[in-house]
Parts: sequence; structure tokens; C-alpha cells
Amino acid sequence: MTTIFEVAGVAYTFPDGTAGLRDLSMDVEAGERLAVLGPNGSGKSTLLHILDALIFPSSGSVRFAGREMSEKGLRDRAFSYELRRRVAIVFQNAEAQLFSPTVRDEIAFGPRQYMAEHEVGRRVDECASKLAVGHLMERAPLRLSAGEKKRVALACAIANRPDVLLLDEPTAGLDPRSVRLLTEIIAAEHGAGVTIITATHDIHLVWEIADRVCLLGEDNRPAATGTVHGIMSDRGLLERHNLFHEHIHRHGDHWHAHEHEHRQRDE
Amino acid sequence: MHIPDGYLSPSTCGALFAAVAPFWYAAERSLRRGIGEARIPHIALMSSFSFIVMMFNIPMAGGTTGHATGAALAGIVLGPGAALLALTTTVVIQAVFFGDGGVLAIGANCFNLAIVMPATGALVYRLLAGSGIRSRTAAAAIAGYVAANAGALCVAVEIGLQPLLFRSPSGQPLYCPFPLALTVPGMMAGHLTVFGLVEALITGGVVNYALRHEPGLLVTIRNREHGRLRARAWLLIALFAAAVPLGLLSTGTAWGEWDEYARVIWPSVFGGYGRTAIRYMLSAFGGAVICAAIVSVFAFRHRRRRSIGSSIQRLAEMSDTPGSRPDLNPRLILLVGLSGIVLLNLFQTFGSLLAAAILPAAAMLLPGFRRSTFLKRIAASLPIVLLLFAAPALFVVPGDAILTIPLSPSDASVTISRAGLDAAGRLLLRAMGSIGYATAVVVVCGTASALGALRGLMLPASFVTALGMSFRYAAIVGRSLVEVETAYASRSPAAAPGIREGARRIGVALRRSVELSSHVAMAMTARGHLGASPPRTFGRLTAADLRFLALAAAVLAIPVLMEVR
Repeated sequence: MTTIFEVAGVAYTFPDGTAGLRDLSMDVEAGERLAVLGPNGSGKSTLLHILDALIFPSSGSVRFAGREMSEKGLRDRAFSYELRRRVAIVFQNAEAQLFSPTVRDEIAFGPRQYMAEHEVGRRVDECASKLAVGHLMERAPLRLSAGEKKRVALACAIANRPDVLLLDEPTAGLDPRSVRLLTEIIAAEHGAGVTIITATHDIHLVWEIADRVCLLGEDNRPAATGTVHGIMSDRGLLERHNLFHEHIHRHGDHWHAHEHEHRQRDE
Repeated sequence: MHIPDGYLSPSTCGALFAAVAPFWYAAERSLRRGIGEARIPHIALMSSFSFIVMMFNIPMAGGTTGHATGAALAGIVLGPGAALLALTTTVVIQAVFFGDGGVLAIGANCFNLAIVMPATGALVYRLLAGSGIRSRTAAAAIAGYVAANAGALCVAVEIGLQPLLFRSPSGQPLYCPFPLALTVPGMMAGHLTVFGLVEALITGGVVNYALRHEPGLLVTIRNREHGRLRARAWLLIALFAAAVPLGLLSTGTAWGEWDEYARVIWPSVFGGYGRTAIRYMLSAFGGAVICAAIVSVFAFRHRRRRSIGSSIQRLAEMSDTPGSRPDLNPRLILLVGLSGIVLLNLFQTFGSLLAAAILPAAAMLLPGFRRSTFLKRIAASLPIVLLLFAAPALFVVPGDAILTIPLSPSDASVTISRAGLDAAGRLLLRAMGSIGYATAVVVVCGTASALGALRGLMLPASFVTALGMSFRYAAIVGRSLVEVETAYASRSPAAAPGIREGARRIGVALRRSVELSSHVAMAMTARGHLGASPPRTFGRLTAADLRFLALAAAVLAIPVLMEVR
């Protein structure tokens, strides 16, 4: 297996001085499924933004396919184009990601940067049918439902046929059927050899979309890295990081307590 | 502040387009050279922000309301170059989609709102701002006040020059009939008192809010501060350009001509009661007060029906509505619409004006053109144009009196003349006709295609992208403003927000705009947007397009023939 991302001693501090990420080192292999797990504010989104070179680490280094991803490194237009084509991201906030007048234009935005117009149309139709958004093509993206917006955002991300897919809370706020559709598409993309990195705090989703987990703590430092089985079976670890807690509720006259994991969907 | 079509002659519009063009070119170039395309979302969102600010009415003394333009604020936050592009975007959207300001007058409105106001605001702020919150707030408030008045003065001069420069052979003013002696005090009275104050309070309030609660927003403000020299240069150039029309006056006998003109007005208005300046002003303002009273009553009733929430709802609906004739080439429709507007403003005879003005309405009555949407949008603009822009002409233009309204207890009176009726009719036909053409284009093409069609006019791709984004995101920024308003209403018994609360809400909208714009910029970069979007082609003309073109040419030829005769 080849290493696609090498993250070494990365820290990120926001302009207002808040820490986003501290002292993170890890490698991501091509074709693997990695879940970045952690409570709110632990730096999951920051890490994905760094992996897509949308922000640059305050210290430490990140390498993509052996090349340094720094502001200087990205001034090389060829590398910049290669990186943007090979790595795609789906943001947590779909509204920020959908900026074109119609869904068709939205999906075509990425391919238009690289391909001739006549090829773009074919690619757009192909992505639209994959994500079942063909009937929305002439609609305004900002007027779609949350589930439709997420599907369009994913269609936009896969439109460039990327090698790496970065997903930021892909199932947040979606109904069960949309979650099912999304996980199936993610599985299909992985089957086609795409590396999937998902940031989430939905620990049920982790079983379905990851082989390996990187757990970030509330102090923005990596708390543990390991296989899904290894991390998920360590209840103490999950509890310490606010991903599992005892839930108290009433059955008739009796108060009843049981362990309760944080997740966003019903089954 | 927005000049409608019909107030300025096409040559003035052309001159002001030419005056703004180098600034557009320079701003677009610096955008491409500087941080570049990543700023497009920033500009689009700031444009949505000013658009929303202009919708947000703040209650003022005496039960009236005023709104700020946000132009000084844009100048302070973005710098004059980027603010020019942001406000140009706002002005274009308002003119094309909302009938607020003329389409031919886009150059003039951009000159006043997108160059003079932000540049003056930025310059005054940079000259006065110290390091403390108080000093910066005060500097921002003064900048807002000065900018609003500078903009108003430019508007007053531009429209006030029209009766001096453009009259029919019989001496009738062809465009704006109000002379400088009326437009300058008229505009300045409103802006030195009410509107300047609103602009000052909003600019100062939002900068204060940002400094106190959202220091991250002011990174852009701080970064801009060392561009002081460049801003001065911008302002000097703007002043120079503003002085060009004035130069026309100083060389000839224009001021003398004005005396001649005044000599014609005075006797007719005062019916021989003498020519003292005080009486003249009294009579002219009497007419203005009557108009203002009608407008206030109307605006008060109107405001209740159309809150900012419903305007935003309308905006969101508009961005999603497809065109009624998707089979026609939108670029072609846009060109036909623009030709109609140009012709309408060139025509001088009443008959050809009337024919050209009702053409879009007549065309929309044909089956398949969604006439109810068209009529609804036209009806929304009609009262403002009728009362605010056209009706005052009834009282000001001298000529044979057809109605005299006595102003008791003074012995002065207000006269409505036949020439006044003619001038008011011209203004109404030109302004409403232009709105009709623009609205017809939007209804026939659909918003998205109309925006896309602008690219066919050789406009820079980055501008068209910003224009489309601004239109779409205005609804989102506005929605956050409405959410704050609802949350406030649910917790506070007070019905209307004060200035402080108003500024705070606009501050929230500003924060939302900046936040969203940086996310959009990231999303565009993530999908490989490293350069300008590729321009689209004009598209192949179909048989339906050619039929439409032939029909449009034949129909537009009717008023042309009437005019030539």
C-alpha cells in the first residue's frame, strides 16, 4: 500500500488565538477507510480542511503523495490542479458549498475546471444518476431539502473522480433513508478504490464507513488511533471523550439508566 | 439615492458609464492580481449584505423610517476597490430585478453609490480612526455621514444639470425637469438631516458592534489601513470625474442660462407676486411637501404589508423561478430588452414614448408569457415611481396653469401646469417603460438564465459569478437577519428596534456574510477553482430565436417610425 497523506507534528491555531488542532501525527494509506472521531470542537473539521489544503498548519507538515502541502508548495499550479482533482471534500454546511444557479451548473463546476465542455455534460449526468438527483438538475441548489443538498454536495465532490474523499459529518441532520443512501454510495466509492476519510461523532456510522479510527480529544490532541474494533470496544475511552455516557430516563414510575452513545439517526 | 430611468439623458448615462469604466477595469484587474478569485464570494456576500441593509428600515423621529445604503461600510470593510465591485453588483441586481434605479442609469448609480460613497467613507474613516473603539466608532459614523451627503450631492448635481442641458426646441425639459436650485437643497435637506444620520448611526453602530463582539471581522478592516495613500488617489480621481460635468458649466453661460430659465419659472409659479428667492423656495417646497405627504401615507401602508421577511421570501422565490419561454435564447431577449430601454430614453415625442413604454406590457399579454407575474412586479414599482419621481414635476415645470392650489395662510400657491403634466408623463413613461422591459426580460428568461445571459454581453466572468452568487446569498443573509428579528421579538415586548438594536442586527448579518463568504471561497477552491470561470458562448440561434428577433425588430420599429415622423 502506498501512503497518500503523511501528517507530522501538525498544530493549527485560529486567527483569534483558539487552538484548532495540536500535535497530530498520522499516515493515511491509499484506499483505506479512516474515521476521524471526536466530540464537538475537537478539531475534526480543521483536520479535513488541512488535508484539503484549504488552511495550512501553524506548525508541522502535511504531505500529499509525497509532496509538501504548504502555501509555497501549492503555488506550483500543476501540483495545485492535481491536488484539487484528486482530493474532494464535502463540507458540513451544504449551503456554503452550493453556490451555482442550478444543480446542473453546481455539479459541472468542478469538471469545468479540467475538462472540455462536451465531456462535462456526460460526467454531470453520470454523477447525477449515481446520487439520484437527476430530477433536480434545473432547480436552485439553495432551495433543496437538507437531504437533497447533501446528495448534490456529494455529487459535486465525486464529479472530478477523486482518489480521496473527505466527508465532514456526512449524515448530520439526515433522515434514515438518506443516511442509508449516502453510506451505500460511500461504500461503492470505496469499492472503486477511493480513500475515504470521514469526520464524525456518530459512532454507529463508524462501523459502516471505516476500518480504522483516529480519535481526537477535547484538548484537540489525538487520543487514540486503531482499528474500528479496537477503539469501539474500549467503552472507557469513548466515555472519557464524551462519545458515550449514561442516559437516565423513566419507564412508568421507575428511573432507568443505561449507556448511551452519541448518534444522530434512528434505526 | 437611486436615480430611475428617465431622469438622465442617454448621453449623461453614457458619460457616467464612461467615467465609471476605468474604475471597474482597475478594480477587476486588482481583483485578478491580488488574492484574486478567492475574493469573489467575499464581494458577492458583501453585495448581498448591502442589498439587505437597504431593505432594513430603521424607525426615525416622527414615525418615519429611513434606511442606510451600507456603501460607506462596504468602503471601510472591503476598501474602495472591492466595495466598487460589491456595490455595482447590488446596483445591477436592484435595477434589473427589482426596478429600483434605472437600467440605463446603472453607470450613474454606480458612480454615486459604488465609487463616491465607499471611497469617501473609506478615506474619512482612515483619516480619522485612531486605535481605540470609541475613536474608530466615531470615525466610522462621521465617514457614513460624509459619504451619504457626498453621494446625495452627486445625485443632485447629475439630475439638476438635465434641465440646463437637455430641452426640446420649445424649451421643455426632456429629462429631469428639476433645476439645480431645487435638486441640491432638496437632496441635501434630506441627507444632512435624516438619511445622513441613519447612514452615520448604522456605519458607526456596525463598526462598534464588530469591534466589541466580532473582532475577527475587523481583520479585513485592519489590513486595509495601510492602503491610505491608494484610497486618497481613488478619491481624487472620483472628485476629478465628478468635476467634469461641472466644468461644462464654468466654460459657457450655463449659470446665465439658469437665470433665463428661472425668469420663466418665477412669474408663472407666483402669478406676479414678485421674484424673491424665499417665495420661490416656499412654493417649490410646498409642492414637494404635498408629494412627500402622499408618499409617506402610501409608504406607511405599504410597509405594513411588505416586511423585510416577505421581501426575502420574494427574493428566494425569484431565484428559483424558471423562465416562461425557455425555448428562446436568453442573450437575445436581454439584447432586445436593452434596445427597448435605450430607445425609450432616446425618444422625445409623447406618442412614440407611449408606444415604446407599453410594448413590453403588450408583449407579456400574449399567451405563454406569464402575465400575472409581470403585472404584479410592475405594480410593485408603479406607486413609488408615480408619486416620488414623476408627481413632483407637476408642480415645478412652468407653463400654462391648469390647476392652482392655494397654500393658506400664506398668499403663495402651487400651480400645476400643462408643461408640468407633460414632464411628469415623460418621467413616468420612461421610468415605468424601462422597468417593464427589465421585468419582461427576467420573467421570460428566468432569473438564472437572465444572470447567465449577462455573460454574453462580454462582462467579466468574475463579475457575473459574483452577481449570481450575490443574488442567491442575499436570501440566506436576509434570512439570518429575520431570524434575529424573530428571536428578538419573542423575547422583547418592544415592537420596533431602536438604532442600537438595528445596528446590532446588521452587525450579525455582516458576521454571517463574512463567515459564509469564507466558506464559499473554500468550497470553490476545494473544487479546483484557481482561475476565472470559462466564458460561455452566445449559443446557436434557433429558428424560434430568429422568429422572435424578427418580431421584436418589427414591433420596436413602430415607435421608431413614429419618432422619426
